[in-house]
Amino acid sequence: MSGAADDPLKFQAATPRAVHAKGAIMRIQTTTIGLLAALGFAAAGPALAAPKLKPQGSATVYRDTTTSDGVRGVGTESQDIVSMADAMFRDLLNVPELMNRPTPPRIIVDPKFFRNESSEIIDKALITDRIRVNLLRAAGGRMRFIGREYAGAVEEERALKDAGKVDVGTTGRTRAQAGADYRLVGRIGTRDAIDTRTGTTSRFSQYTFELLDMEYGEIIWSNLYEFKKENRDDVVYR
Amino acid sequence: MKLAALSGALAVAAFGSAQAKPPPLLPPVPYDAGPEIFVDRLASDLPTNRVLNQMEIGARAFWRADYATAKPALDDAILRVDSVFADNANAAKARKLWYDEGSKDFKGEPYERAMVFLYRGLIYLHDADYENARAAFRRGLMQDAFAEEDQNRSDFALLLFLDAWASHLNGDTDLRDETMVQLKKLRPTYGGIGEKDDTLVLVETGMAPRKLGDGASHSFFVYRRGKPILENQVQVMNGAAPMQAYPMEDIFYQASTRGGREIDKILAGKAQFKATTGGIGSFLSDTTVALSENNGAFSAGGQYGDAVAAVGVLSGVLLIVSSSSKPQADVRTWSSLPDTVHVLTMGAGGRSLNLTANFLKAGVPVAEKPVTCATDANRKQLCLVRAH
Repeated sequence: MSGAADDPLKFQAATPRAVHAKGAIMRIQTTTIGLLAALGFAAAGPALAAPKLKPQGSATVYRDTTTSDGVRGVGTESQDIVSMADAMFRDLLNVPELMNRPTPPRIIVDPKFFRNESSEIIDKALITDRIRVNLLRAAGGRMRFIGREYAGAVEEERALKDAGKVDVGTTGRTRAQAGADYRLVGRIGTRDAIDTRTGTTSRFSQYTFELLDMEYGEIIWSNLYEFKKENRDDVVYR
Repeated sequence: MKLAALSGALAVAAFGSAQAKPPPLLPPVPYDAGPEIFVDRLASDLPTNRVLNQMEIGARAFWRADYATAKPALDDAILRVDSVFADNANAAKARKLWYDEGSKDFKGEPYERAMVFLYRGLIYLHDADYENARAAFRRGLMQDAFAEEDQNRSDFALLLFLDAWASHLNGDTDLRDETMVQLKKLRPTYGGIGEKDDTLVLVETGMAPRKLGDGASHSFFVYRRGKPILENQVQVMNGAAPMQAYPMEDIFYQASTRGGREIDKILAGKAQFKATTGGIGSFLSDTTVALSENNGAFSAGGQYGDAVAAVGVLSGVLLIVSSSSKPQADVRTWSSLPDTVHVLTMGAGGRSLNLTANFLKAGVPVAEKPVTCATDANRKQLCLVRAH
């Protein structure tokens, strides 16, 4: 049936004999029913033109990062940022060098040395801000945070105080801005894969967080956040 | 009666589907026109053309240095290019017999998708956000990538170069050198990026590749080089000293060498169906007329008149079905892309530059234009000029 539907010339060669012969009505009916059935197959033909490939798109799904690498993936979403930032700040609260010091350590948590080497277009401050804010609020004064990215603003105010254009405020003067003991550093890396035939893409994303001793250079804490996502676009885009 | 009922059902389906008209072709916009027309179209055009209009807005605003307009347009296009619309109704339509491919939401062909990321990356470069620029270029590379022996490869040399340039500006010399190794395989004659280079001159020449419908019922399209191509070389003049810009990417080559698409198989199936039903319908129609005219038994009042009438109805239905099926390929095209992109890097040491681009065809100067340079927060310069 489908073979006949594929080739219109076969129909044209077969039907004249049926029409001209005696008892043509039955043959006409048989032929037309056959034609309709063939039409059904032909109509289905386009949809079946790409066998074994699913024509429908599929929603993005999370996968176990320990599974073997398929050929799929997409990027970092808000829930990833929330999850990773929360996981990191909770872990940082358990670092002895930070929590058990008689003098609270000073830490810089900003995006400057959080290196994006990935294919992910991202505002890194979304992650580091969330870690800093949560850490500051949860630490209860056991850690101090240095706003190095605002150093220019501090310097401007200090210059005004030095010049006597404004008074010293209520907390008094210091010889210099605060130096840091530790700094959050890290790296964003991705591994992308794509199969244009099946329309599948995947991305393995790995966020590395480390706390760097700003005097000695030792890394006193590390953690990873990783995920892999995959999706498949509709066949009309492959 | 059964035959009549079946024919009727088929006719209703075909008539109903005939209402699914292909998207209207809007008049072409001059190559050097700004984004305004497409901003208007964004509000009035079909939603399925949204990405196409955003692409046009993005590129045209970019070349007017109107980054405030270009950024959100390109971001919106990227969001939709990257999105997978699960169970998308328009995508499902495009697979159906009664709708042409142009009824799907436009996302562009791989070279067009790659160019969205390229322009967005250039704006990140302009804003001194080198890491996100690099990320954008890498995402562009993925649009063009094809799986080969479990490796993902891309031959889009321009994006590789820009990836390396973004790493260079960010001080990531290790990443720059890794990417340059890949670039050298594609462009062995390219001299490379100098250690003290801090200025990129990016030059576009020629017109966008064209998609022309071809085959039975235009069930596929072929690419043709944009025309006219008035120039194919660029010299950048810094004072009296000419510097040859390197032709890093042939966009037409990127468009036309990608190979077949999966949708082409579906469109070929639709075209075959259209030809089959049209052929059968014509044959039955001719036969019915011949029988009615030449044989009294087969005439309307004759012994077999009802049967012949039913076949006549069926032939009409088949002709309607044939004419209602829509196998046309999607030829919507991003019209403001160039034919070729040339690059040149140099060390300016933060000094402002007064550059001019000389466009040549086969070594003969054909036009001259000033180059617009912008210095970012880190005193790196991005200099841009296009021939048209």
